[in-house]
Amino acid sequence: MIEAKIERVVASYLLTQEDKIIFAENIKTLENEVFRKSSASVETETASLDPAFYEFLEKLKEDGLFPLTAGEQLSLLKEIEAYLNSLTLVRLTLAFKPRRDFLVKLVSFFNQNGARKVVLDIYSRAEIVAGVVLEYQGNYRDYSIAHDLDNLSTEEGFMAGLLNQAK
Amino acid sequence: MIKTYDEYLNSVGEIGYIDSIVHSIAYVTGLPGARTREVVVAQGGQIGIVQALLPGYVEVLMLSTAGLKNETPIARTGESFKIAVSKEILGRVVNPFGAPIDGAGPIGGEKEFRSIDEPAPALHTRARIDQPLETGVQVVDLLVPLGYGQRELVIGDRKTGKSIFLLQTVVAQASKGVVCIYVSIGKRQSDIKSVEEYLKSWSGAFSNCTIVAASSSDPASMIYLAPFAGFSIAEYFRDRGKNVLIIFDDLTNHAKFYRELSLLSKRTPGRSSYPGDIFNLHASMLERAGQIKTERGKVSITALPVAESLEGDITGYIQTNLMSITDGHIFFDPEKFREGARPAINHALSVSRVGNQTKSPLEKELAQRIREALARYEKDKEIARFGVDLPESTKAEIDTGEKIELVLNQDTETLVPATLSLMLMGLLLGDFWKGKRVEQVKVDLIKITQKYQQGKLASLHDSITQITKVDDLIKQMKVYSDKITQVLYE
Repeated sequence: MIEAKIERVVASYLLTQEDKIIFAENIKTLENEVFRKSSASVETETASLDPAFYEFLEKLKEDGLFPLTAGEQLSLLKEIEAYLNSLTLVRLTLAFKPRRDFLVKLVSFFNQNGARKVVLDIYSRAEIVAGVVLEYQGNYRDYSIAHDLDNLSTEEGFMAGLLNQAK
Repeated sequence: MIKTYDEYLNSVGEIGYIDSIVHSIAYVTGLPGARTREVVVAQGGQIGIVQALLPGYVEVLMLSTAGLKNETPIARTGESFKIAVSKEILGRVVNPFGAPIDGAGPIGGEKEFRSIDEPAPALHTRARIDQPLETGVQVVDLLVPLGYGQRELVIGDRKTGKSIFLLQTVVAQASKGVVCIYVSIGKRQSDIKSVEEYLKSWSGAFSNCTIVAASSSDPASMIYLAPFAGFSIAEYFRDRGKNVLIIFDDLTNHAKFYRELSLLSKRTPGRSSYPGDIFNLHASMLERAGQIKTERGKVSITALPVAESLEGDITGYIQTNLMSITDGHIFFDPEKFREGARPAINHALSVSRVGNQTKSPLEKELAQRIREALARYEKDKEIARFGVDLPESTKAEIDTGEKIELVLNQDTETLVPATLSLMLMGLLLGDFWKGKRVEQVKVDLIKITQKYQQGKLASLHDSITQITKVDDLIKQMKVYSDKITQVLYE
């Protein structure tokens, strides 16, 4: 089990499915490097890492959460890897590409309101006009404006009402 | 399918994504509420049927894989697989989805959507099989009789005349108004065409028939569905008070395609690599046949599944499975075929468990006499091989046996009604052809059949229907022998 302090740091860097993939790949790279050069420690092998992941490691060090010995460092990486695998994927389709700060708000909303920690898989499709299409563990909910408009147009008398308003 | 992918997605509210595809099998993540046998639809409109629910995956049998790739979204429909059936499906060739493939345009009429997985009729609705089903093939009608609602396996090697016997049966029944469904499973397109042409060559027969065809070039999933779709069509007509005859040509092929699908979906292979549920699959399907009681009287679905054997070996896995599922079997013997018997049915190795109860006392007694005469003939033939001088009684038995075989031989273009069959046997046992050469008997048989069809033996027909004993039949035929001779050579 990952420590709560470390989990908080991970969660602040890990918002989307892309982040999750980058984290997982970088952890693998580090493990492989350390295994190949058996004497090396994680600290000395950071050159080939993604900047975001490097920043995350630096943050851990800054907060004094990163162990000093290579063995302990490797076991921490394994714990983080297991944590990544335990995260639940929520797929969101939005009408626009969200900025990072908006994603932070979204993730914290899900984490506060749901029973499980999540990462977001974000898709943007302008056709939905506004709102969101949400997919979670195979459940599909369309909360988009396009869907609402579509439903309205099938309601009896809608078209006639629209035409009357136009007159 | 009535709705689109988007409509199903919004109404059911469940989505899945293809994780991998192996031939026709797609493994889908998501779809938390999926049920086995439920239809799912891909974003491109491709249809699939849920086969199994695995940990983390739903195994889907896709009926078309064109345009499918990883991450293709799939929606649940909440429905089982249904095909549209209307009365106008008769006289048409359709695929397992009920869509026409004969180039004669769309099928009209008021359509009803029927699930291909209807449950079999309950026990209390079933009725005893008590109506004889005439095949028009003498050896079957006399020695291995069938009844409406029976399930009789037709088993034999390739090219031993199974299909032509089935087609003769279809023609005999279709011309009596029985709805006939011919399900062709994994056969070549040319075979399907020849079935269609044969049925069309008999006037009026094809208008009571439907061919459900899944050819060898179709996907395995489509071939697998063909017999179920055939049954749905049969049940549609049964529920409208029609007797139905359904033919599955053939179920060994069906088992092979099901094996292919099962091996692809990594199910544990059992005997001969078939999956463990192959018996259940065929048994539960054939259970849908039978005679049932309705408010309008008894109606039936008679099923004639076909099993192909190899070199006359009827002890194969699927063959024995089907034998134990059905109410008997008709064995087409390759040895008999080589000897020139047409149809090459080995009556001694054929069984009809419920057909005999549909027969009149006269027919039962006659069948017994013929069986005994043929058994003596087989024994005498063995003795005659040694070239010893045979007593007169043995010679007479051989002569009778040869002539019985001659009468039981019939070509593919001739259907022999039950009364004519009784008449011929009555003449034979009444020594009508005693001392006549085989060639002469052959000519007489053709002529009698023709005269009967022309209605020139109508008076005999009426008198035969009242007879209850073989001795009375023989006496009657002796009385009429002069008249028959006269009719023959007029």
